Order: sequence, then structure tokens, then C-alpha cells
Amino acid sequence: MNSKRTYMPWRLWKETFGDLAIASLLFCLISGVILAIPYDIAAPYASLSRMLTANPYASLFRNLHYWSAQTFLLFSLLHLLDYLRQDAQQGLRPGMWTWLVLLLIPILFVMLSGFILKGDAESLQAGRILRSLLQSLPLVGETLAQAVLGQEENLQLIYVHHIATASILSVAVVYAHIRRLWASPRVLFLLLVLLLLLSLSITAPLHLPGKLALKGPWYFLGLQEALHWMARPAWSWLVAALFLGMLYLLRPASRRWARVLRAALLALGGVYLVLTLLGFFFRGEAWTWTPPWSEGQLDRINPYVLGPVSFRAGTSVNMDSLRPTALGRAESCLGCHRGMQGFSPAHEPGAIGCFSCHLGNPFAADKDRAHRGMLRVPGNLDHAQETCGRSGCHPEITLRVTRSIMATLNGMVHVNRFAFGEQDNPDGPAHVKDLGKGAADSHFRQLCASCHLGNPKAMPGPTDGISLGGGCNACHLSYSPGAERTFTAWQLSDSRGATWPRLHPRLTVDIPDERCFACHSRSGRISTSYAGWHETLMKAHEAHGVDSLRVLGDRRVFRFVASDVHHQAGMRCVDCHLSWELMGDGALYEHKEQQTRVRCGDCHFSGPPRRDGAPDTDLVRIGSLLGFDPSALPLLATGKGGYGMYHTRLMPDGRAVLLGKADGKPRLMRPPGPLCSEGTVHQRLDCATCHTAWAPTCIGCHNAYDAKLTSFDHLEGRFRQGGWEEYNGDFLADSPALGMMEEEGRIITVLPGMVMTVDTASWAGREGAPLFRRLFAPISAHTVQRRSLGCHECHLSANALGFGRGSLSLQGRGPEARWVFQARYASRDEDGLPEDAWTSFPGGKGGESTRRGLRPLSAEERRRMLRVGACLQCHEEGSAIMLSSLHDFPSLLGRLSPRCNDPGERGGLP
Amino acid sequence: MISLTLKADPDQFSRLDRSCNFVGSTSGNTVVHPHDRQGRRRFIRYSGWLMAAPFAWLAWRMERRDRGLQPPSRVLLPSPAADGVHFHGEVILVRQGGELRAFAARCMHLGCLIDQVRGEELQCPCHGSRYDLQGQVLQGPASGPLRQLELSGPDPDGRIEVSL
Repeated sequence: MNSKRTYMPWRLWKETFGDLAIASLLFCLISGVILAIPYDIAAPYASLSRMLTANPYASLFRNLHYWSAQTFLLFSLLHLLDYLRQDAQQGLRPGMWTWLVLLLIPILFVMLSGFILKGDAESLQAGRILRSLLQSLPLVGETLAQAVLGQEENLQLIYVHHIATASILSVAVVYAHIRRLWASPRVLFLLLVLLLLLSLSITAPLHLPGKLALKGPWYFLGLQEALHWMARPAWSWLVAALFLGMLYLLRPASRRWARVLRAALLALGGVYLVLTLLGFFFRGEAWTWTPPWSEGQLDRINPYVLGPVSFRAGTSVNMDSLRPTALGRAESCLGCHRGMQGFSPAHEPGAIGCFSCHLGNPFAADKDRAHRGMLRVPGNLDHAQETCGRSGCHPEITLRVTRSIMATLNGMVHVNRFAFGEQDNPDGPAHVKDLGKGAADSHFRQLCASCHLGNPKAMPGPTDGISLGGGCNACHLSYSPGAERTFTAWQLSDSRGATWPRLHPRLTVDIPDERCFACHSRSGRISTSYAGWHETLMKAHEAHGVDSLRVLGDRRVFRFVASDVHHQAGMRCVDCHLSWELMGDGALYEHKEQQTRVRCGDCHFSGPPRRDGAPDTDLVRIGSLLGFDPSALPLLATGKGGYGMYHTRLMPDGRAVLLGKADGKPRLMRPPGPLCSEGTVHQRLDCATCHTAWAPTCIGCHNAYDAKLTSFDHLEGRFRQGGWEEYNGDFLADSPALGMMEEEGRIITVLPGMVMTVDTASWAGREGAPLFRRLFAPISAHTVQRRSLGCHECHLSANALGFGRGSLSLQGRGPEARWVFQARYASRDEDGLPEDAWTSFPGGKGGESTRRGLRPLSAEERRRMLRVGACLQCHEEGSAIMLSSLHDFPSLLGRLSPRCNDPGERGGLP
Repeated sequence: MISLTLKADPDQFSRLDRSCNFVGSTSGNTVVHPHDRQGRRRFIRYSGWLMAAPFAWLAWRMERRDRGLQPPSRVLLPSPAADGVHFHGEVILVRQGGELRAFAARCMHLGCLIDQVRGEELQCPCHGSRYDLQGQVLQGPASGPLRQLELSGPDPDGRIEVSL
């Protein structure tokens, strides 16, 4: 028989842990009853956020409830430890000890259910984990899970168990244990002081929506860490049963065995403590190992908001801040920023709040805490996953954009390295963020690296023609005139908030061409060319007062040549280009034309329309925002990838129309002209080869490094000593050359991407000849004209054939006839080819390009073209005989007249 | 007649009660044999538990029936047009090379809702399990692949039906 032991409890000051636990339980019960008034089980998260943002009194009672629960658990555990220390359990009757051991279960359940009832992201996950754990119990698992937790994603039954079942059980066992439910006034007073201090200075946790690290309550972090290592989580029940079993056996066990059990329990507790510390300090997003000294980890691991409860929060309440957003939470932001206007419906504060984009702390009631971690300029790709790409908004699109060619600049990086001779082909995976410090990459950092979507925008304000980067907002943020005016007034007021802009810029899918302009007025210059402007070498002051000249924000001067026929028809860039090609489709592409989906033939088709354009997620969402009903009529689809074009319609009469995304105006899609589809000889031609009016052509360029220059590194955002200088040659607005893209078997338009010298020796700091490169690049000039080029503009054009500008004349007759080429530009010393040539006349030299598989026309292809060119010397290009050549050129050759000067199969080439 | 002194401590009382071989009664002149009294108490206690058993069985049947009354869950989702991962609450749609697959968004480890993708990996926010886009486990603690869901369609409106 066990001897009776006198229980001498540990004391905190003069109070026992048992007394403190009882007092905590009392405060917890009372504060819980009061908290039930503002708490709404139908919208728990919203009601809690409303307390935090606008009802400091409710927030205080919530804090009291939280902290009294924590102290109840803590003091109960200390009380248990105290019992074990003295073997005091031996003084209890066996039944009571059993009940007390079992009491641990409702205590932990009432704690955990309180955590789950927050209704935030980590609470809901905790509920799912508990359900899975219960279900993993053999035989009774499913029933037990249903009996304890009720329906999935429904907190009603948990609430009942929290306020009734578990609480009553706990109270009953405590009462049976000590036959009272009251603590001394002194204990109550001291504990109340402690709880008030905690409650007034540390706000109970509520998970911030943007926080990707999901953690359980502190007393279950050890379990969460343990579960991370357990492939079979049901074993955790065995560990729990072992713990309770050992605890139970302490009483009937002999003194020797009791010592062993105590040591084992102590070891188990020690292990759990270590696991808890690991889980608390060393785990980050998705439970990855993240030491506390990692960037941002301290913010991630701290669930509390430190600082006094602000009773001023009640004074700034307005109905906007009390009304929960569609995301189920109230935000304190609108307490101060009331009356904001200008939003698109989907992005109104009533729909997504302010936090979704601007982060910060939406539950803090004072300015400093609310603004901590806030983004003034959201949308930058660095934060896109926390803002635009947060779960429930646009996560898929954000991922696509970060992998898209406009974010990676993959092709540009590799072509640049290739041009600098640092790699032997223009392909490979690369990202502008990973640029190195070599010659090519430093050149890129200085001259090209500002034009990518990942370039962060640091200051708010309207975008203009020289505003680059900014992630999602680079395209989707639009300042109305009013918004721009109020923003400027706010800036002029020294940003003190006296004239705080009430008009917010609008997030929209209505993208004006100006958004594209900033980046695409450079390099291929498709934005400027589309509007008809061609860059010159003139200085800004020379353009003053000249109507046909335009000076951009960066002081470059452009001359008007001719705009694209689609531009003349009032079409915007986005009327042709789809979201899937602009923002990517999630795949990593090496060059931009791989990501591009739309082809001319998708709208200008002959034959049956391609009408398998099923509405997809993106299409339905964007289409409905713009007022399109994708299910109204059959849609057209792109030939490449089969993407539905939600702004197209196939009319009952068989005609197809394109509706302007901005103006909704229907535009008839005209089929290609008869010459385009007549015969088979031009089937391999890209539409642009005949319909490109002009293309911006840069001939001759020199790049040198000057160590004395100060340059700006756009990637790192700082100035550097030393920099590259570009010396331009001639800018032409002229027809492009033709090239063969072998992989697709298509003849496309090409330009001298780089005919240039690179003074790599100057980079290395030594004397030496510069590197010479003659590389042609594919171009879609975006200067489409309705009229097609004439036959002679290709068949008799040295430029189109890749020889460079100059004249071609056929000398001699018959098979002995030979084409003679007179180049306009002098030959370069480096390779003996004219400055603007891609390949030598009649062939053999040159021909390098910035794409694998892109080559000049072959000797055979040139011979065939020039043989037709010989006919065009006498026959009009619209003549019947030339039109018939489109169908059967060989039969024409069989009917040559003696006057014909046919150079034969060699086409007049040597 | 047997008299008994009781101390104030209820635990002590209890122990004394249970350690004695008999407990006297002072009600009138009748002495009830303690063995009879204990036996009656034990009978009532066990009868109570036995009476609870049918109710437990009924409650169990009720829960089973209630669970069976839940309608099968199907959702209609817009068909994604391009390759990528699309989260729709309890369903993850993955399109790769034109092939569309649907997975239950519950981690096979402990049922956490998966709503994060990093690169080509789906990751569980709770305990760090990672899956590839075929639903196979790349990193534990999950030991089994994501549950693949049946899908049908798309219908004329481009929607697909997924059975949960």
C-alpha cells in the first residue's frame, strides 16, 4: 500500500500553481462568455478582424480570454509537474488520478478548439489536421471525427464543444478534484493584474492573410514538428497514449518504477520542448528550415502584435472599415483612408480590402503598426505572389508572368552574350536577375536591364513613356486625369497628407498602347513603328516646331513615316495580342516569337474559320470584366495553341468580326487578298514579307568600354565606375530582308540585328582589334500596310535577297546571263561584305543570325527568285502571264518565246 | 453499532471508504450487510453503462446515416487554356502539354489544403510535403500521391466537371 505524502506545492510568490490555474480558468470562462457577444460563428474571421480594427473593448476581452487560456494551460502543466516532483499523486484516490490524467484531453481540446475558432488560414488547416488525425484512428476514426468536428469547413460543432462539452468536463473534473471553483481574492487580483498587463500590451494572434508560414499554437508546435518527420501520423496517437499511460501508471507503480516513469516522462517532455523550439524558431514558409537569423524570419515567427491596445481606434470608425470585405475580414485601413474612389469593381476595398495589394497590418488600429511592412507600390514581381498573386486572386497568372519572356528577357540575354562572342549559340535558359559581371552582362546591365517586368517600381505615380518595369502594374495600373491631378497636388503638398489623394489609380484590363510604349520603343521599336514613328539621330532641339518630328521623354527624336494599318483602324496592341502571349503561358521560352501566339492568319483567314476557341478561366474572367460574353457566339481561336479570342465573333452569315477591347467597335476580319492565297508558290511566306511597309533598320554600330565613365547598373539600381558607349551608324526606315526559319519552313522578315564592332579589348583593359559581328534577327515590324509589295520588290531586290542595298541588273542573254550587283554601302574590312548585307553576293559568306535555324535564302531559293525576277524585267507584275506563273511556273518555262531572256536553272547566279 | 469518524479531506474519505471492509449504517435498527450494499451500487453502476450502450449505438447509426445523406460533391470549373497549375479550392487543375489532370487539393499526409506552387512543385503549407505536377511525392512526410479526381468535359461552355 502506498504511503500518504504531504503535498508541499511550489509557489509563485505565495500562490500555488493550482490556485493560479483555477483563477485563470475562471477568468477564461468569464471573458469567453463576454467574448461570445461580438463573436460570430457564421463569420468568425470577419468578426475577429472587426474587433481588432474597430472595437478595442472587444479586442481587450479577446486578449483576456486568450491570455487567461494560456495561463490556465501553463499553470495546469506546472501544477502537474509539481505533483510529479513530489509524488503527490500518491495522495489521490485512484479514480481521481484517472480523471485528472484524462482531464488533459479536454484541456488540450478546449485550447485547440479555441485556436480553430479563429477561422483564419492556420486555424482552418489545424482543423483539417485534427480531422485527419481522428480519422486515422482504427474503427472509430470516422465517427469520432464527425462527432468532434462535425461537417467539413463548418465550425458549429467545434464551437459547441468549445463552450460546452470540453469546458463543462474540465470544470467538473477540477471541481471533483478540489471541491471548489474559486480562488482566493489575492490570487484573483494578482492574476487579473498580470492578465490585464498582457492583454493591454500584446494582442492575441490572428493570422495575416499574406503570411505563408502556417503554424499551430505554441503548445502544438512540437507536435507539428514531429508530424513533419512522421510519414504515418497515426503513430502520434501511440505517443500520446504512451504519455498518458505512463502518467496514469505513476500512481499504482512501485517507487522504483515510478522513478523510471518520471524520468521517461521528463525525457519525453524535454524532447517535446526541443521540437517546440525548432518549430517556433526554425520553420518558415511551407515548414521549410529557416533559421531565425534569415531575412524576415523574426517577423514570420512572431504571431503577436506588440504594443498597447489603442482605444482611439473607436474614434476613427466608419462603416467602411466595419464592413468585411469579400475575403471575409474587416480592415483598419479604411478607418483613416475613408472615401477612396476610382477603383475598378473587382478591386474595390469592399471586395478585396487594402491589405490584398498594399500588405502592412490590416488589423492594427494605429498608423505605425498598420503601416509596418506596407508596400506603397504593389505589383512589383518581387512581391507579386504576396499581392496580385495571392491565393484567391491571380496566383496562376503571377507564376506565368514571372516565367514569361518579358520578365526573364531570356532571348535578349543570350543573344547579347552571343554577339559578344561569349557563347557559341544564342539559346539557353537565362534570367535577367542572374546576370553576371562579364563584358556582355555588364553591357546588358547598363543598357538593357531596365526593360523587364521584374524591374521594381519604387515610387507611386502615373507611368509615362519612360517609366519602365513595375511588374503587374507596368500594364494594369491606370491613372485617370482626376487621379493624376490629385496625386500631383498631394506631391506638391510635400506628401504630408493634407490633400491626401482620394482618387486611387484604377487596376484594369483595359490596357492602352502607352503601357507597351515605354519598353517597346527601343530595340525592335515595334510600339513606335506601329504608330508610324521612326527613330532618327537628330538632337531634341533640332525637332523644335517640326510637326513631323516627335521628341520622346528620353529626348530621342522620331520622324513620322507611316503607321500600321491596324493602328489607323484604331486598334490597340491588346486587340491583337492575348493574355496568354503577353503574360506567358507558364512555360519558359528562349525567344519572344516562341511565346507569341497570334498570327495574321488567325483573323485574316481563307477557308473555314478556326472556331474551337473554348472559353478558359482567363478568357471568362477578363472577357466579363470588359463586358464581353464569351458564350454569345462562336469564338475564333489562334492557330498556334488554339487559344480562344474572346473579343472575336463568328457571325451567322459566316463573316468574322473583331470587337475592339477599348471601344467595343466591330471590325470585319478581311480574308487575305487573292494574290496571297492564289497558287502554291507563296505558301511559305509569312504575311509580313509582303505587307511590311518599312522597318527600323540600324546599320553599323560600335560598342566600346570606357573605364572613366560613370554608368548606371539597372539591375542593382546603383552607379558604377566604367561603362559602355554605343556609337550608332545610320538609321533607315526601309524594307526588311527575307530569311528562312528552317524549323517552321517559313520565310520571314529579318533585319540587321547587329552589324557592329564590340571593343572587348577595352573591357579587358588592353589594346586589340574589336570583335566584329554581322548578325541578322527576325523582325515583326508592326508596320503592316494594306497594299502588298510588288513582285519586283522581292524578286529584283538585292536587299530582300540578303545582299544589302544596291542595284541588280541582268547582263547577257540566256544561260550565259548573269546578275550584277552594285552595292550602295562600302564593304567592311572585316569580312568584305557591304555594311548592310547579310550574305555575300552571290553567296557563300556571312549569314549568321540571332536564332538557331534562321538562315538567309539558300542559293537554290535565290536562283528561283531571280529567275522570276528576270521575267519581271519585261512583264508587268499584274499581267496575265505573271499571274499564271503563280499556278504553274514550270509550264510557262516550257512555252518561252525566243525574245525571253531566261537565265536558266542557275537563275543568273554563278 | 459501528461509529465512524470522518475527516474533512474528501480524498481521505474516499480512500477510507474504499479501504474498509464494511461501512456501518445508523439508520434505525436495521443493519444492512455491507456486501449487499456494495453489490447493489456496483449493479446500478454497470447497469448505467449498459443502458448507455444502446444510445451509443443509436448515435453511431445516426452519424453514419447523416454522413450517407451528404450529396456527392461535383464542381464545374472553367477549363484552363494553357499549361500550368490552377487552384480552385478543393481541386487543383494541372495542365501539362495539353493534358489536363485534376487532383484533390488535400495533402495525403494530414489533409491540409494545398494552395501553393513553387516552380514545378506543389507544396503543403503545414508540414512541407512536396509533390510534382503528376501528383507524385517529391518530399515527405506525405507517403502517397495526391488523389487524382475524375473529370469530364469540357462542355459547350468550356467547363469541366470534377468529382470530388
